[in-house]
Amino acid sequence: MTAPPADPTLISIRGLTIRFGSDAARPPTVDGVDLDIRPGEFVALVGESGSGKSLTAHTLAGILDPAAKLSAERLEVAGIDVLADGWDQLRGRKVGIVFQNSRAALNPIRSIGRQLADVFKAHGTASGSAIAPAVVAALTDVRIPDPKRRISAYPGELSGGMCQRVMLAIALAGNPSLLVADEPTTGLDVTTQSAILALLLERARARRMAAILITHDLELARAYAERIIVMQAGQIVEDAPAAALFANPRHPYSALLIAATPARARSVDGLSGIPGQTPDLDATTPACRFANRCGRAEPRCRTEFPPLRIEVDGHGFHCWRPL
Amino acid sequence: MSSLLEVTGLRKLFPAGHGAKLHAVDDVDFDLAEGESLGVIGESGSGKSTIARLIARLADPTAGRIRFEGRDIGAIPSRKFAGDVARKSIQLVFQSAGDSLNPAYSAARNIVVGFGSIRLNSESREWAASLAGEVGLAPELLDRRPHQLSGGQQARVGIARALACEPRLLILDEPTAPLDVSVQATVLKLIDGIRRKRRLSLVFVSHDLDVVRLMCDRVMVLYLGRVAEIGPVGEVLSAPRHPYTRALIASAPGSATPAQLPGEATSPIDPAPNACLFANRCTNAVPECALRRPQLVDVGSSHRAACLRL
Repeated sequence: MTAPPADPTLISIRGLTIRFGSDAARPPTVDGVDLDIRPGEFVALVGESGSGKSLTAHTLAGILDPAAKLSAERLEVAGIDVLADGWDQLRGRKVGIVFQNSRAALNPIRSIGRQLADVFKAHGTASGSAIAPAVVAALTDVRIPDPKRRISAYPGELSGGMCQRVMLAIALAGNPSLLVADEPTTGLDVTTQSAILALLLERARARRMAAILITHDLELARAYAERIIVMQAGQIVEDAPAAALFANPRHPYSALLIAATPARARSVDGLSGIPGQTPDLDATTPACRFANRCGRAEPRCRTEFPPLRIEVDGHGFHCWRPL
Repeated sequence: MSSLLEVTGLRKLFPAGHGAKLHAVDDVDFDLAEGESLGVIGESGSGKSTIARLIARLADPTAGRIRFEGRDIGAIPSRKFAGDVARKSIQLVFQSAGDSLNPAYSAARNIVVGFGSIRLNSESREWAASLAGEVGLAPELLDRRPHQLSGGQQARVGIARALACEPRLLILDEPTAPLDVSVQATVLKLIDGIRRKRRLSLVFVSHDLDVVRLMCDRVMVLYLGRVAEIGPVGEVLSAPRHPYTRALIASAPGSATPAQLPGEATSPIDPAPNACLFANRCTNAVPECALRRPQLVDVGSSHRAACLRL
């Protein structure tokens, strides 16, 4: 490796809060998220629907819904102070993004070669006669077989897995230092899923690029990410190395999520659901938003969100009564 | 155990333009005993949903027999099947519960409609309430419309509607695919409990090997409309004999021996009749695989696989 950069964090976020609507009494959808990611890290952001994982990731990519009201104490991504300078230098250049339904994300009436060429032109990473070879190289890079012929293909002529490879090539075209992959394999077959994720991991490593995998699938996170961040109802509850999270979950929600995963159960009786559901956010929402579903909750959980606790290096959690 | 359902030579071809045919289901045989749960697994295009629709008699087979309780119900045209006695005995639970419920009906009315009762009276309401109790749906939710229910609650209404007919065979087409993992766990436990209590037979379509492992006695692995392997779930998953089954297991996240399947599936439109359709992706293939269609052969007790290189 080359000498470590002066600033070892690629992403540094403090107090990220996202609200919808004008009702100030309504608690924010994303509630005070702190997040640090180092260059080259492969992190999974795991949570159920309503956990705020996609909103957090969309913030990093600068594609947050315009209706969302964002505030933060600090929001630095790839050396850019977003709060001061905005997203323009970030989008596509420092941060690439891969979406869930890649066929819908691609332009259906433009060949994939042209779509990739557009991206190279927009970023200025290739121009003139260098564009055509750059497109072929980019498609080769994501293991699209016979790339010279596929250049003229339209998204509708490609399988879901191939479209996802094209999407990845587009995301990588700006040489980003962070790749955000938002449920990149949902809807794909399991054999395609493993091929896409292995490719994503390999490309990220080869470029020393950090990657954030957004997923609801804990098993997938464990298989591919070094570090797993668990979100619940807009709050980060646990942040740990993947192996440590499974071996020794400290937050009750993480433990329940592991116990609800079919891969972890020996029989259907050994499977356990989580009582209740992600809370509707209103004035009665407790400080720790899991409190109403938690068997270990105590009065303090409802009034005061637990601060980050780190007892073992690299393994943090927010809980007054950890496991 | 006697067979509740016997499927032989089942085939479904769809027109694919210019006289070509898409082979969605191609010569599939299986049976299902009373109280038994059969998992159907395969990737998109493997024909698993088509098989579910064929045995639920929502689509007509091109060829083959579907014997249910000894009668060949495959011969009854699907549009006439609604009036058949077997209609109520075979019920389907759909993947996306929200879309399969009538949005204008309350949960209670959606449940009793399964029984053929469109209006709610005190008797059918009571009936709906008892079914709601069985699927763990709180009684106060019965007056809500589907959009006022969570995904898990919608799934429960879909299951209650199917149960309203007192079925003997329940066909579940990826019933938990859109649900969060914590909700999926409760719905799976619910389905398993109902199956045991009512002694139902299940055909459980899924793409998730772990869900099938937990929910099913036997599993049928499909590849491009053909059965690659069928057998007891524990045996197939711990000692798979077909290279495609092995590839599926190796592709699952967290697999002990992760490996990737090369290439893409061949086209299901007029595939070579005398070839193994998996040969182009198979690391174990020999030239003969392109020349001869493998038949299912016994590889263990009620465990069969279709591969020339067993």
